Amino acid sequence: MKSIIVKDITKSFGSKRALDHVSLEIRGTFGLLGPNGAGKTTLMKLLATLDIPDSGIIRIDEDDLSWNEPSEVRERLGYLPQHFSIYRSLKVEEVMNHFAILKGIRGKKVRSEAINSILQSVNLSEQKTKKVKNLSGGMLRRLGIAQALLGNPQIIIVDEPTAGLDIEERVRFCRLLRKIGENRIIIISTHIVEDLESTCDHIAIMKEGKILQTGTRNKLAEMTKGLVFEMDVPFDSPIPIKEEDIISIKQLNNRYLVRFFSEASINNARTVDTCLEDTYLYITKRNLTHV
Amino acid sequence: MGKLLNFIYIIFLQFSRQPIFWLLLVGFLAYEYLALSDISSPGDVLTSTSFLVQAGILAFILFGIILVQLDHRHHLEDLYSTIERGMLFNLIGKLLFGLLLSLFFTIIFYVFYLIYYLVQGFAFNHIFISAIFYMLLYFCITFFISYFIGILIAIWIKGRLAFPLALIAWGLIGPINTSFLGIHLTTLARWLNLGEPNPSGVYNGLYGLSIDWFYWLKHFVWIVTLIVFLLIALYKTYSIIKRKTFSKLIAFSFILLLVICYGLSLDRQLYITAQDEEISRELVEFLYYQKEQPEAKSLDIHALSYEINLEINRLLKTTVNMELINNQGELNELTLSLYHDFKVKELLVNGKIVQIKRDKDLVTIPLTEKWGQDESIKLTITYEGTSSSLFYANNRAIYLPYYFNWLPSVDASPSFEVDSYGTLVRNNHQLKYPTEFVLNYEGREPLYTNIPEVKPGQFKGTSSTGLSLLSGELQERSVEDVQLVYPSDIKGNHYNEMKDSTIMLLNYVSNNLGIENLTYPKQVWKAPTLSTSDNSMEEMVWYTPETLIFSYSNSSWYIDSPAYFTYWLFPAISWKYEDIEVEDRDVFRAFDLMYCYLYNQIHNIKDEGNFLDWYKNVSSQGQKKEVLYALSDWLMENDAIEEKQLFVKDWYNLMKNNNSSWENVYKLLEKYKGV
Repeated sequence: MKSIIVKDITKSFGSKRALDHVSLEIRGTFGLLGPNGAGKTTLMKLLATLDIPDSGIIRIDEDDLSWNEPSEVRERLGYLPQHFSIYRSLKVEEVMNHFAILKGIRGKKVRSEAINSILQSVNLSEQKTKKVKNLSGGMLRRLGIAQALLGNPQIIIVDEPTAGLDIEERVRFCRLLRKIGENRIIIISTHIVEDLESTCDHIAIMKEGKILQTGTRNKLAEMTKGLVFEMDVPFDSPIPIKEEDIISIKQLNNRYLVRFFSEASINNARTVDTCLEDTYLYITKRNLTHV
Repeated sequence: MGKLLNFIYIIFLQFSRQPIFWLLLVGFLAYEYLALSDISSPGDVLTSTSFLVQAGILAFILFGIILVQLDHRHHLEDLYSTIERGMLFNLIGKLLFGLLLSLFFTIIFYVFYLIYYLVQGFAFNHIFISAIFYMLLYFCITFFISYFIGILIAIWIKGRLAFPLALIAWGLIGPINTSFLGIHLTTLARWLNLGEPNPSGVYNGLYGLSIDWFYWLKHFVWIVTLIVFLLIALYKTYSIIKRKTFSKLIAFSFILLLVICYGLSLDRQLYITAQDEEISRELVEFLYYQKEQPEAKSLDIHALSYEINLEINRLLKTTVNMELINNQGELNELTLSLYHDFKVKELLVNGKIVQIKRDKDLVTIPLTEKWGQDESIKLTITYEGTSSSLFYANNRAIYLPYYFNWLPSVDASPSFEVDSYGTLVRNNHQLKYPTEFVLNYEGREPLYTNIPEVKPGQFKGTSSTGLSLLSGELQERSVEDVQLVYPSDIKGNHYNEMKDSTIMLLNYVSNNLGIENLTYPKQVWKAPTLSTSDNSMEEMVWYTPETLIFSYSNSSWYIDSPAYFTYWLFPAISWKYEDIEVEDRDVFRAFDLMYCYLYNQIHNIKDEGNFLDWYKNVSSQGQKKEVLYALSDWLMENDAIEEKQLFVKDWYNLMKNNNSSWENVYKLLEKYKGV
């Protein structure tokens, strides 16, 4: 599988440094995870050729493709912005046709076949003649990914794809991303950890313009193995854990179930299986580049 | 191209599915229909549609803003930017859509306009061609510029602040922008105005619509300036174009702007009826002729022939070869008159260059050899000049009548003078003897003249009054071998009534005053020249046996009040035609009024005597006052018609013999009435 090499990228806006010597190897379905202001959107804009870095390079070695030549990159790029929408009185098929022409798909028949196939793959065939204003939020997102798929791009960039969707739509959309990412590079930026758990093979965790960690989903999840505990605390007792170590507090019948980080064993606490979210919180709270 | 069309199509779909779009279109047409049904002339209706243009400008600015803001709202700019040249196609597609939308509204307006007037009985003549250009300029291009401004406002200003800015832009660039800028900023208002340059004026039936090259260039300045701003946006905001390309395009745009501004500076003097200028050409002329004019000794010489090589485009440029004969004693110098704004470049006497002395309208030519009686002399004069509101000589309109000294005239009087009422009036420079004319002409076609065209661009013939040239927004038809030339925006009705009244008056005056050759001419022209001097009744009509020229601007040949027609026609066929020297215009006016009132009475033409108030209203004292009051009282008495007829006949003879002082008129009146 091909990979995008991001090497030593720096980007500043005035005195604020949005990306600070970022280096990454992006392959497969790749997730960018980080809190607001981490620099995800800036990095996504650079990857989508919407902006240029102050220094550093982005390229695909196998194809000898450099982001210094954005026109060549754009020919292989599909992009779904965070707030995708389009003129509301257009029909789904008109929107698809518009983007298909814009992406240089020639021939009415070829275009029609490509549109039908993509709409089918995103489960929008039945909505083909519907106007955009009559689509639900999830359908609109699927239309967004459908337009990104036009021209069969090798790289798809998806910014906050599930923001504002209900759970059912979110699950469906993540499944769709997983499906379309089989033969191409998909870069997903989000702050919702669950989305990446179900879709991404590789994940990078960012904070304050820096990459804190990269790795496979499982490897990242296992990073905090042995560091995550749970303990029961009665309602009328104080929680004996420092605020910054708490991951979550669940309210049960007559007690709290407290999940927390600890580097040593604690009485009445038991170690539990870790997940990606634990690692994300552990790393971002401590700005750790190594665990 | 396919990608651009795709964008245009998508925006069209979006637009056409908005009820507001159709509402605007219906409103636009409803307003147009109201204008059409209210105004009978296809020329007037266009100059009067400035409110429609003003409304259209606002609509198109808003269209531009809304389209760009829709992209902002849908975050489409980022998406298009990730597609190769997507954003560039988006912006150009939007602009092309605006252009097509402007064109669509223009075509709809034009078709509606055309059908309306054709159904009303107008023939498809040149005004309907000019109307296409007018609508392209003031509807299509103006709407497009407005839309372009809207797009740029929305690109540069995000959010709702764009809308108050749109209102400001709308106030500045519309044809009624003086309402927003106030009268103190009229120059700025005129430059910013993208609509009809003179929205409160009337249509000039000879000159036509304000579609001079000047106005096109002004619109092009706007477009190029807006393109510069767009390029800055493409470079700075969207990073679509590279620095090198940007620099080249900006440099090219500035060169283009310089070229256009140069063209503007050349054509600036060609403002049509002078209403565009802060101080009108007419007022300039008035002030010019209000000052003392040079006097020249009247010489008994006359022109045998004129050979004229005339080019009329932006300027009038001509070389005139004329042969003169001396009917008096020896002469050392010669004075001709030539309208002062025609600058003499070179003058040759019998092939030798001489240095002339120019004093306003007079050209004094020193003669190196004495010019003896009955000898002829050949002059070659090269001169050029610009059009004015008092005559026309450019590629849009030509009105160079025989009575105007656009050709060097042996009658050494100024072109105009200011009379006792403060009115600028023309001095008659018509010839007195048969003169050969050869005219080689290059300029607007068709050219109407009183001498026949012998081959394309060459006219040859003899005239005893002079050469008249006419061209402009005119149409032509023949009725019983009479060539009728009249503005394209009128139907030219009631010709027969005019002809009958004219013939009746010609016959009467011919018999009564003994004026020879008063025949109905083979050419009848209607050339409304719209200068203030045309408001005096002596200026409404000019007559020669070859050509009858009407300068009143109503929509038919005849006028509603036949009595008035007498007052307008009579001076033309009497003392003006006989070129009687006018010493005191009031004497001539008093004579005209009396003669015409009597004529109307004799011929049972209903005349309320409205003009007769003049006798007591005009500034007068002494003998003049006595005469005028007596005439007024005498005319109020409806008896003694025969005495009155004899009186005016004798009065005319006094005028003919240059003896028509108030004293002599008083004596005459004493003889007939006893003052």
